[in-house]
Amino acid sequence: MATESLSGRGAARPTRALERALTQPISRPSAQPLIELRGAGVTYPGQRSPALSAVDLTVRHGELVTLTGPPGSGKSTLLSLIGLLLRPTTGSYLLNGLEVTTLGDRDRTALRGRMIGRVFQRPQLLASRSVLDNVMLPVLYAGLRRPQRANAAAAALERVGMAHRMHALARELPAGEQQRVAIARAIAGNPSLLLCDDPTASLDDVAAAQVIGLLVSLHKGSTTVLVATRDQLAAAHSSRSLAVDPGGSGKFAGDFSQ
Amino acid sequence: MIRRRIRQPTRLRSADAIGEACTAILVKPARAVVTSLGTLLGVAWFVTALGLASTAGAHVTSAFAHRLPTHVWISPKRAGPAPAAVPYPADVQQRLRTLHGVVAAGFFWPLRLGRPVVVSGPGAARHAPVIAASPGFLAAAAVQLSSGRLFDAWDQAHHAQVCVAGTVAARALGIRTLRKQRTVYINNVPCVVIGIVSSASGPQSIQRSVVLPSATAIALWGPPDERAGAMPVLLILTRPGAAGLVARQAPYVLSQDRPDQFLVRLPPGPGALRGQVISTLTSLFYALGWISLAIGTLSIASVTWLSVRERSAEFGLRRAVGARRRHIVAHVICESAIVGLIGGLAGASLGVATIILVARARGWVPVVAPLTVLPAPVAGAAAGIMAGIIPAMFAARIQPAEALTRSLAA
Repeated sequence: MATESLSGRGAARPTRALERALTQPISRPSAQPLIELRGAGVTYPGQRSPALSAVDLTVRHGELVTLTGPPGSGKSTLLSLIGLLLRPTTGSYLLNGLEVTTLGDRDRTALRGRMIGRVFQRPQLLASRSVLDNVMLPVLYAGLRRPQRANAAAAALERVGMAHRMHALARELPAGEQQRVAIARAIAGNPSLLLCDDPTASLDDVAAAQVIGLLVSLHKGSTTVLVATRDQLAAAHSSRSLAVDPGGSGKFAGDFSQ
Repeated sequence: MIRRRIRQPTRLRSADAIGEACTAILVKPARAVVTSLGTLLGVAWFVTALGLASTAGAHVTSAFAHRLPTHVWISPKRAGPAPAAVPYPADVQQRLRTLHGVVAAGFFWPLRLGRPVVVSGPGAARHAPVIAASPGFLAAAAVQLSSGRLFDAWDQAHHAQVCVAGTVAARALGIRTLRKQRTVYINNVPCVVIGIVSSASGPQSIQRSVVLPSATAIALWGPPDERAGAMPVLLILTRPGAAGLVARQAPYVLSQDRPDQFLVRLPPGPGALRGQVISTLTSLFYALGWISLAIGTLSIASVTWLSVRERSAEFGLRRAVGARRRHIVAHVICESAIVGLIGGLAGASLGVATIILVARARGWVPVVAPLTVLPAPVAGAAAGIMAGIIPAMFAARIQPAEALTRSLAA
């Protein structure tokens, strides 16, 4: 099954393992890798050739990894797979030591919401809503009350330097600031893993440098960051850079971490 | 980084679901207004239809009031040993008049004299039935005369040999005018015709008969003979609408210890017919109301469907940041329910306004039952919920990875 299962509750629910995965203290680097893909591949329904085939990838806590490769090489698919938006059709995926391939939708959604932040190529903000509303969106589903949500969102906006615009409508901001708001939204729920899919693609050089600087600073704050990018600056800051080949197989074999 | 302690899946508070839905609606108020228009019209039609039905019903009731039964008939139920006189208290008419709503009351019975021959003068014998009646009966039967006068309490007290002839009877007896005194012979007893009836309600036999005072009849031929089937019958004339009450109370006035010995008859009023007319109107209005509410539901459903398709990237994003399918369903249904509720509220207001305007224009009194207006917003919300179900299921099946390749609209 390439996409999220519609049945949702098909898989058994290893609650204790899930608890362990979720409660793993991030501040204390463990021997456990954060991401462990073993021969993971994705074939979209109705397509013969896989979008991603047999990927082996290990990412440890606190790494900043850049994914490079031409458009269509499978970077986005890989990020969707890691971000639990897709299920691998082959192989397995351990997130913080937990096999998430067979988890039900309820638990995958919980992991998505609480462990993973993401930034897209476009800011993907709700244009008619305020900056604060947009950043509060992930914590909305954490079940926090509105004042707590507003606090979390304000703190995230503070970290990206956008706190002064929190009451502006999202569509009033320039593209670079919108992308910074998108990063604030991604980190509002304090995720341990930040996935960025070409976040500088639609930005000019100055804004792009700001965004990359932001991601690097987050990485230094011990968040694990995966960035698919063509930006050389990002690659320069990363702990390692991985090239994704179109339909490539096994390109991520081995552990490149320091 | 904080140390996470998570024991529960992601959640969405119901207040937050409503809040998110409200915000989403407020972002595009014009769309919400247009979407709710169908429900608005449906609910408005429903309220208007029901309100006009009750208003028109009240009006029809008052229009029918003059045709409500005004006569109550009472007769002794079973034949016992022949009573000395009439089986009613002597002061029956006074007693009945103390009842609220009674206009007049009196009794009558047909005289069975073997051969009730009435001869007008020394010519050929002509015949007509004879009725004995109290003066109160003439009033209760609303007897109107074309000429002459009615007999009264004086005639009754003095056993006067006078009579009043019904229209048909007068013609049969060859009496056209009372300009010269006319005498008829009842069983060879001469009686002076003092009045000719032009119209009367109550028993139809009045027009065919010659009516003479009951006291005179008793003095001449004795009390009514029940074996001959000539039991005296009480006729009570009531005010419009009072007949039912009088019919229930009268037996107790006549006999406090044995009210059940009387048989009370109340002619059927136009009530049944009226009920039929109104229920036909109401069910027609109901049908139209349901149809327009269904159209309103469909319009919400189609607009919500389009909106969900347009916003698939937004729902994909919500799924990606932790919304479960049920949260998406709740969100979409909240939105459509709120739109329906708005339509219901506005529709109820519009409906009440329409009722008042129409009633005013027709000069009716607007009658609106709270039970037709108060559930109207609820009906709108229910329509919204139903309309939201299918779009919500669609939204819940959105694949976030795929949806997020699209740009978020609005």
